[in-house]
Amino acid sequence: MSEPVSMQVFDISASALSAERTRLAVISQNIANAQVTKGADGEPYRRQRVTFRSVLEEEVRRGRAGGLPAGGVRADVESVPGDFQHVKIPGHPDADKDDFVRMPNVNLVDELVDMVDASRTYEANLSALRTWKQMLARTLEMTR
Amino acid sequence: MSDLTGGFDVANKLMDFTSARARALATNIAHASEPGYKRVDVDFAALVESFRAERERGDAGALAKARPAPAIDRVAAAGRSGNSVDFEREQVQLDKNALLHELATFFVNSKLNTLRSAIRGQA
Repeated sequence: MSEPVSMQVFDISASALSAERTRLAVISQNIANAQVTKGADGEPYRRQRVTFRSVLEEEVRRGRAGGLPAGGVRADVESVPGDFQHVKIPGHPDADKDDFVRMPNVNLVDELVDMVDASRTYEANLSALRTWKQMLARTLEMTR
Repeated sequence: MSDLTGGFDVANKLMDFTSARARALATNIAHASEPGYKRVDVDFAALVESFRAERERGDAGALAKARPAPAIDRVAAAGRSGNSVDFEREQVQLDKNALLHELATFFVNSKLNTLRSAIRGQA
C-alpha cells in the first residue's frame, strides 16, 4: 500500500531538507578543519564534499532507499582529491626540511559561498513544504 | 449501526493510530542524539492488515481488536553513530500525522453536527 501523492510531497521536501543539513554540516567541518596539518592518518585534512542524487523508484521498490521516497534526494559525502597547499612556516612541527608545511585543500571563500547556497536552498524547501501544508489545511477547511 | 451513527468506530481507530504515531515520533526526536538508537514508527498498512485478517476469520469486533503497534523501523538508514533518526523527516511525519488527525476529528465533527440538526429537526 503506497501513500497518496499529496502525502509523498512531505517526504520529498523532508529528504531535501535533510540533504541540505548534511551539506551545511560538511561545510562547517571543512571550515573548522581548514588549518589541520595532521589528521588521524598523518596527512593534512582533506576537504569533504556532498553530492546529491535522486532516489529512484526502483530503489524504493527493492527496499534499498533507506526510507527515502522516490523523487526525493540523497546526499553522499566524499573526500575531494586535490593537491595540498604548501606554505612556508619555519619551526612548524609538521614542516619538512625546507620549512614547508602542507595545508588542507580547503578554500574558505568556496566554503562560504557554498554555505549561503545550502542555507538558501534549505529555506526554499522549507517554504515549499509550508505552502503545501497550508494548501492541504485549506482543503480541509473548504468543506467546513 | 444506522447510517447516522456509523463511522465513529473507524474515526476512533484512526485517532488511535494518529496518537500512537505521534507518540512514536516524539520518542524518536527525544532519542535523536543517542548513539545506536533505531527509530520506531507505527505502520498504517500493518494496522489495516491485522484488521483484515481478523475480519476474514469472521470476528465481528475485528476493528476494536486491531491495535496500532510501534515497531522498529528497519528500512531507515543509520548515520555515523548508528542512530537512524533524521530530524527533518521526523518533523514532517509529525505534520502528516497532525493532518490525518485533523481529518478524523473533522469527520467526527461533521457527523455530530448532522446528528444535532436531526435532533433539533432543522436543516
